[in-house]
Amino acid sequence: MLKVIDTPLLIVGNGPAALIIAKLTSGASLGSLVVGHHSSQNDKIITLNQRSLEILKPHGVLNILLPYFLTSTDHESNGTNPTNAEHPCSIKASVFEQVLKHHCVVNMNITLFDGMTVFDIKTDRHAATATMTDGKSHWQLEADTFVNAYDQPTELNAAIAASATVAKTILEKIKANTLITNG
Amino acid sequence: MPTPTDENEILGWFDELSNWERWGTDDRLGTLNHLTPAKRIQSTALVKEGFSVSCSWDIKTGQQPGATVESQRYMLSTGLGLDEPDRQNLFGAGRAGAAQEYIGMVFHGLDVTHLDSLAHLFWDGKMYGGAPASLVSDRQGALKHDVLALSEGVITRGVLLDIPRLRGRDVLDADDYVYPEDLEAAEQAAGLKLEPGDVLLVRTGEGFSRIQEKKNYNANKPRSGYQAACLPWLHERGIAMIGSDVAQDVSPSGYKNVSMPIHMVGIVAMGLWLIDNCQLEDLAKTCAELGRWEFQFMLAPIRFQGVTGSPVNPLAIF
Repeated sequence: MLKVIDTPLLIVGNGPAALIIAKLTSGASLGSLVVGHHSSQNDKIITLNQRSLEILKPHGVLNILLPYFLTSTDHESNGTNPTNAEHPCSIKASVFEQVLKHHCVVNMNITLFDGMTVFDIKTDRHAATATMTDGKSHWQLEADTFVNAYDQPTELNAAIAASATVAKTILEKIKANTLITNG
Repeated sequence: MPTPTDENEILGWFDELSNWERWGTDDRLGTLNHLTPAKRIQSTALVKEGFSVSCSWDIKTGQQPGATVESQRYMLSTGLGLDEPDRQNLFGAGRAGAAQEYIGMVFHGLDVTHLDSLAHLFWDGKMYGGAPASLVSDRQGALKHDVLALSEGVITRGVLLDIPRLRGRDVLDADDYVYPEDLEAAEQAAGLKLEPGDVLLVRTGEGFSRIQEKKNYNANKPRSGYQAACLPWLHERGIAMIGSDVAQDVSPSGYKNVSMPIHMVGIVAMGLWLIDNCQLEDLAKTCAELGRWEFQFMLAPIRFQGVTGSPVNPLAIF
């Protein structure tokens, strides 16, 4: 018998946006299932821009990134030259993604599976059904909301901005539906 | 074949299976109240062979499968240089050496064998017994229900129920859940019955995969475990503590609102003590060799003040 997994939000695909959308929506107590994520980022150093900082700060993400921001000494040894004061929030893109992934794994609202295959994705407006397998067992996924992270930008600042828009749209849609249901 | 419990029924269990105020308004022991002095004494009769088996994994530094944060070891002093030839003729204090380290870890998660205290989880902003969740803060840690509740340790009868053995396989498939019917079939196969105050250990065989796959073992994947339907069974039987070679709950549970029902209803409503990520391969082998699935069980968490659990090395004594 195919086991049915009912999830408010299904996020399929790769890249930082999959994790950022899960994190931003979890703050509103929205449960999500993130499947098929693996790091898409390299060791390129990215400086988070003002917009990224504004998006991440209220969700506590800057606090967990703090130990990983590069110092001026790191920049010297990396051959990158900005001083710490000029670029206080520089981080390797791969490290950003790894740290955020750990953060998502311990989040009670986020379920994150590695090494799964998802196929037969059928979307109806935003809702979706799909099948997930670990190679042996199969699960029927039923999601109220579906995000294909492959559609999102992979460059870090662009991914953060796009994720904020996606998260906002999802939460507004749920809020509107709840209001209608409650009459 | 049993079917998963309906989620609305599980939501009702927060009240129906609640042990809040059952043992007083300031209770810290939860289901360990089922463990009586007589039960502890009885367990000593199970020590017949004179050896013990660990139910814990090694804690390793560096990236481990299933670890959310790498365990860290920083050596404050080491033995390096103490065997250099020019030190050989030192005398007095110079001959003595010592090694010391700092250890840092996140034991909650899918890697380290650990105990969850009753301050680990919240439902509707409350802990077991109705204490507000905000009593666990960044400044103070857990002001209520920290792991010090078990300072005197746990000594009782332990029972291992080996579910893959029932099925004639090494590991349960991820969608092959453990139901009360399986627990009872395993009880029958073992020739015993779980009683109030017992510690129940359930093997799914994930430890077998973890040993086989070594560094390639992926813990962030669907895995078997106790299906939520086991909760009323554990409640009725008066089980003091449960453990398994996974993090108890099947994953994914399939539930939209209570993603980890064994954790949520168990810890918050019942005050049930959980030991996640046990290493049960050695114990299963010993039990099979001896043809005996009960033993004396012993566990002593580290006396961390304000901490929501402890890494543990549970022992089965034969």
